[in-house]
Amino acid sequence: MFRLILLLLISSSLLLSKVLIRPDEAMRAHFGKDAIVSKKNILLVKKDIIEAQKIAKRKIKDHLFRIFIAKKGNIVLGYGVLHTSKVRTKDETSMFLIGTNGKLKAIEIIAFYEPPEYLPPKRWLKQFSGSTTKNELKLKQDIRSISGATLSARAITDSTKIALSILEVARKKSKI
Amino acid sequence: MKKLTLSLMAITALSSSLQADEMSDIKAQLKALTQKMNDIEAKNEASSNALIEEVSALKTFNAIPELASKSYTGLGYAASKVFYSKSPLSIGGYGKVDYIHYTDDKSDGKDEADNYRAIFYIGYKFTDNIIFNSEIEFEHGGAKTGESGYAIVEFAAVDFLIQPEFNVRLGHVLVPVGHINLQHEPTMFNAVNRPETEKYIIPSTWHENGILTYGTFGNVDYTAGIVAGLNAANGNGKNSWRGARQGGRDSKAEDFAFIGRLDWHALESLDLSTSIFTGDSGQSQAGLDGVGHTVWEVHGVYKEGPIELTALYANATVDGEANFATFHADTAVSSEGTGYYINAAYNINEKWAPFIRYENYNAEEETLTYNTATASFVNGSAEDTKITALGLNYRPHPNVILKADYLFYDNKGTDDDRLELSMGYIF
Repeated sequence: MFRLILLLLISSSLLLSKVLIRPDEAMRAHFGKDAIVSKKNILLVKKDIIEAQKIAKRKIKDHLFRIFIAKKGNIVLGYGVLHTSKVRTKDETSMFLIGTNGKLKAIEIIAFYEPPEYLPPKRWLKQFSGSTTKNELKLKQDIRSISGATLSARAITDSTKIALSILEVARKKSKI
Repeated sequence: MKKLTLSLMAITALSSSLQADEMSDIKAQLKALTQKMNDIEAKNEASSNALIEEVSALKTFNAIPELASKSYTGLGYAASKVFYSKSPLSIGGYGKVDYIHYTDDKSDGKDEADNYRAIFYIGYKFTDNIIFNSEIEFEHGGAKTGESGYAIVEFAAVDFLIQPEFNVRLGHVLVPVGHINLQHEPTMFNAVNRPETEKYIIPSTWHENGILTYGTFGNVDYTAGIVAGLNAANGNGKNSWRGARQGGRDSKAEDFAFIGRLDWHALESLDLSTSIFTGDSGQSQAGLDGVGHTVWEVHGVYKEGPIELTALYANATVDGEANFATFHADTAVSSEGTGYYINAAYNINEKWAPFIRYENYNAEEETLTYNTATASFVNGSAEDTKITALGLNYRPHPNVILKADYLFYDNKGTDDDRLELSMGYIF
């Protein structure tokens, strides 16, 4: 038993966490390996934020957003909006991959600093696919909660609505 | 730009009255001025863009330090990660304060207002793969000599995250049996108190020293491990399992127990689980040879839209009941107990949720008493306890819950019906 524990201690310290995926990798995973990925930093003024809040029906604290764009030639394939929110006491940062039709394709968790048991499973994240700003995304009604990780479910659900709304406003104002 | 256009028009109008060389001089000055203005505008835009880029980079770095791809202090990307990582210390907690009013319909229950739980989590991330997590619990107002309250370490374990299929948790761990034991925060269940099936058949909150391995294969999560066994020298009657818990307090470790658990995410909306704890519990104490405790259960959780259904069936047995009964002479010990419950909740909106829970359990389905006077065994059995809980949850904030329920007890006139109110929180 002692040898087993010692072996585990040594081997675990050599391995990397599997949680992180780089934003550009996430973009290529969903918009194609040959997609050209660029990023744009968008500054939204107070008026834009108020408009986005109305769409999201959530409070938006930030003004500055990093949005990734996937292109093939001159054709835009889709967008990736980064959003950070607090789970329990630590932050999580997710990328919301959104098509040009405004529909959410997928969510990729980029960084997660709470203990791993609070990390939402991929199968839970799948239920957001196809969501638009028109979807209410109410937890425990439209969105299933995660047993044992309610705070993560709350953070991701709110972030989804915010990311969709921010992109809609940014595109409307020709900021992207 | 408008002003410039107007000026040019004015100049054109005046041009006829001005000398040609004066005109050309003014035009040159205007051209230079326009160029200067354009330069300033471009410079401002470039500065503002640079500032946006810098702030955005800083913001992203602050949120995800690991994304900075350059190395630190000459180390490689992976090795230098720890230098970028955010504070490794994590603090959280939960608690609840209850009020219980007994209707005195069957006995003389005394009303209670109890600071039932105040719990604090402390975690520390040594590296991305070695993480400590703990839960320190104060129950019934905390510890005081001669009072019922106590302070206890509910878990204190280090996780070694190796790969999704295989990880290790070592130390003082929550026994992964049942539904509530792993998810016992008040915001996780509807009623003020946990179902009694998960108190007497599955003795939650159940924690012990040991080692667990866990991981995921597709839609199935597994846990397997060993912990110090129960102690058959303690516990009898309906507490034959609950009373035998050692809680990691200088636990006797002559006998270990095996734990196995499978969680199958059968559908997007349906999780099915089963778990077992089994092992000897004599702990090399005289008279307790061959005594062993086993608890197993199956449960399912279904969530679709506003509907949430939970159902659980549990069975607990004791082997070597003759020795168990003889050790606890003249007191009934239980050799089998079973229980089940069904909980249905409807989330009207994000704040309000009415619910109903029905349970039927019997922790003394088969009892045995060793009568020292007659030197004989007496078999027995207690009545089932049936409890129907009707209640309502209100969440003023997702992490704060106010609960009210009414419990109808049907157990042949021993327990009062009761009204329960509670405030729970998690952070």
